[in-house]
Amino acid sequence: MKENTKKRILAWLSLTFFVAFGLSLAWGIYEYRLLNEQKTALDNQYKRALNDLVTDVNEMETSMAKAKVANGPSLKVLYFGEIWKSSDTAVNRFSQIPSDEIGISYVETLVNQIADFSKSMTQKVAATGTMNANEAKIFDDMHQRIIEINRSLQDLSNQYYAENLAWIDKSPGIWEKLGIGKLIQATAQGGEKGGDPNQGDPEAARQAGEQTPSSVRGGLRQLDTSLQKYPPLSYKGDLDKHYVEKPLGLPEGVIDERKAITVAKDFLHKLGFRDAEPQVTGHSDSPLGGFNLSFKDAYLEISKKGGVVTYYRNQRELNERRLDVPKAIEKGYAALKKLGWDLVVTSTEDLDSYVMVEAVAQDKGVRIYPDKVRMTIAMDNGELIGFDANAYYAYHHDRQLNKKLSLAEAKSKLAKNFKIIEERLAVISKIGNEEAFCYEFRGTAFGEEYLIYIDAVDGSEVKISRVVNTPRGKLIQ
Amino acid sequence: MKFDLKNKDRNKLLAVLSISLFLCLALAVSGQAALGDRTLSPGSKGAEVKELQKKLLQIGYQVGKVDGVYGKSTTEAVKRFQKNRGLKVDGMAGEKTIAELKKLTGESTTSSGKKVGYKNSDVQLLARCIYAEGRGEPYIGQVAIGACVMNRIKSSEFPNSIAAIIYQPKAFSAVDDGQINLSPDETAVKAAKEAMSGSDPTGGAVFYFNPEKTKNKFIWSRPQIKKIGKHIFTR
Repeated sequence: MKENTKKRILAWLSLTFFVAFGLSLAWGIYEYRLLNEQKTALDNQYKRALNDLVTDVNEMETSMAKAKVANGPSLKVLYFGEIWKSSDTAVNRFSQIPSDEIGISYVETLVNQIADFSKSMTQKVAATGTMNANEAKIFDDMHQRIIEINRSLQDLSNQYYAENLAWIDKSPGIWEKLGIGKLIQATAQGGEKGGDPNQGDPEAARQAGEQTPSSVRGGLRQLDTSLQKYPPLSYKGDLDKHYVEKPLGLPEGVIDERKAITVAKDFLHKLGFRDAEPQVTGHSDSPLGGFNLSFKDAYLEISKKGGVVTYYRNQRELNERRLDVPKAIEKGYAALKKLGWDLVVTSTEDLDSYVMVEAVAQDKGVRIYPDKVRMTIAMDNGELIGFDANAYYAYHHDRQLNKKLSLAEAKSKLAKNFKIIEERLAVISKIGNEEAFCYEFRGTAFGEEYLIYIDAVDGSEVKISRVVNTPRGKLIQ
Repeated sequence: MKFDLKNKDRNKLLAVLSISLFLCLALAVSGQAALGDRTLSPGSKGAEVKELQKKLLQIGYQVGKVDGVYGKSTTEAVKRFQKNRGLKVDGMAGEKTIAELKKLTGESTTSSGKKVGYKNSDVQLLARCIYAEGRGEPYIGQVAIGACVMNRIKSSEFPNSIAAIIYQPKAFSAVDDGQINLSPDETAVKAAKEAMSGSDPTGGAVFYFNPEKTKNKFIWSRPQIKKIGKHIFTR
């Protein structure tokens, strides 16, 4: 009897086991197939990106060769347009290829620079018919580098198809991770472990440059390293506007922490905080930076050079909206005046509990758009809760504004069906990190509103902005 | 039993049937009334509520699940919307509330009134990135993350669109591990809008990292600008 029960239990147990085993096996196969399908789909995307990148750079290189020799504006502009297009897409393809880390890439920077350069050349050649000797020299320099990049990329692509290269260098497998197996040396990276950054390590980088890559990413990294031997391009152009190396508008002198607190106190006092006690909570290390201070919900930044408030944000809870936009702007503007600013409001964006406003400096009636201050105004009581003068202090300087064109002459440059609503003089930033002194015309054509800028010195069309009415205010595109 | 209808009777039956069918359809259609036909309040259900929830979500008010049920989270979202727009805060979607909501969720137009789309497609993606990477950070810290993305667009070392930057492999850990797909909270949406309007508390940063969690040599080698919340922002 006992034997019998045991046997029965055993039979049941083994049956359950086999059923469970069968089920998990089926599940495993199913998962495995699914994984493979998805892997293939992903891999196809990557292949597409790599192929597109190689094609784009090749087209770019070809167009560059043609643009050099084209002598008339019609073809030169066409080829510069082609370069611009293919370099722009190449940058995006580049960023779609798998990577084991993110870093600064020389290839990407160069391709971006060429995109910017060809964009400004498209405009210049169309206007003046040619480029000057210096520009031609820069362009040839760019071309030489792209030839090399193009060759390496094609080589990499061939290798990829011939050897079935991995996308990224092999990272340690499970045994290696557990410390049981030996770490496989990833040759391409120059580092021991996958994912370990080797950028900024010149020795490793130099070694990497001499070896055959074991992965696509490794190959791209080698290409990057090989480009570092070139001197930096003499073209800076439109690049890196997000960071200003030499701010033009900060007052003279350097302040210390005590002074920073006084400046912050004064700023807060003018905003209505009678006995504010701001504390220094940190430092920022940038040309416009200095001291970071806090007081209750407010955060301020005061520049070390010149000791001015560059950024202020009160993160307080916002209450029920009680004002309309014009009223709020009026209040915010009054606060700005109290802080010693005399600016004109140029745009507003209604963001429900607060409104964001841009205001610019004015010099004898000329609007100086680069000298911009951004305000955030609370809609519950009209308090100025945000203030950002980084742009103002970065670009503000004394400008020599001498126009050569009369208003009538500027008007004659406009399209015939453009109906002017408003006109004024303005300084705007244009392609190539430069400024232009212009006539600004606001008006309509084709049922649309535009801002058209005509250079007040040479009479060329500098910029066109389209104005769109969004539910939150006018959007200038 | 056998139906032995004469032609006339058959026609009558057919008429009754088609009329009742028509009535059924008409009732069903009227059940799908448009948003704004009536006041919606807690407890309401149906397609109109769903529409209301969608619109709230579109401009960044979190309503929980878009399920067509006017529950607690929808009521709270309506209240917040009313508070921020200066309407009577009662949590009910009446005529004024719905009109304001429709206005704000409408398309942009040219000066002659032609519709040209919403013009805000990237806000959602940027908000998700900010939420995934920086929820729990102070508001400025969240704007700062958004500003980093915007600065990358302007920088020559990165691709040139918000999507290309966010989805660049290994650019953001929260994208690689799927947190990017979490739905963002209202603070993150606000921070995204502010960063897209050009606000930059970082002073031109393109990288940031949490010093307690990162040993990556490259990121530590970048010139540091400042610390906001838990993150150090670098060039």
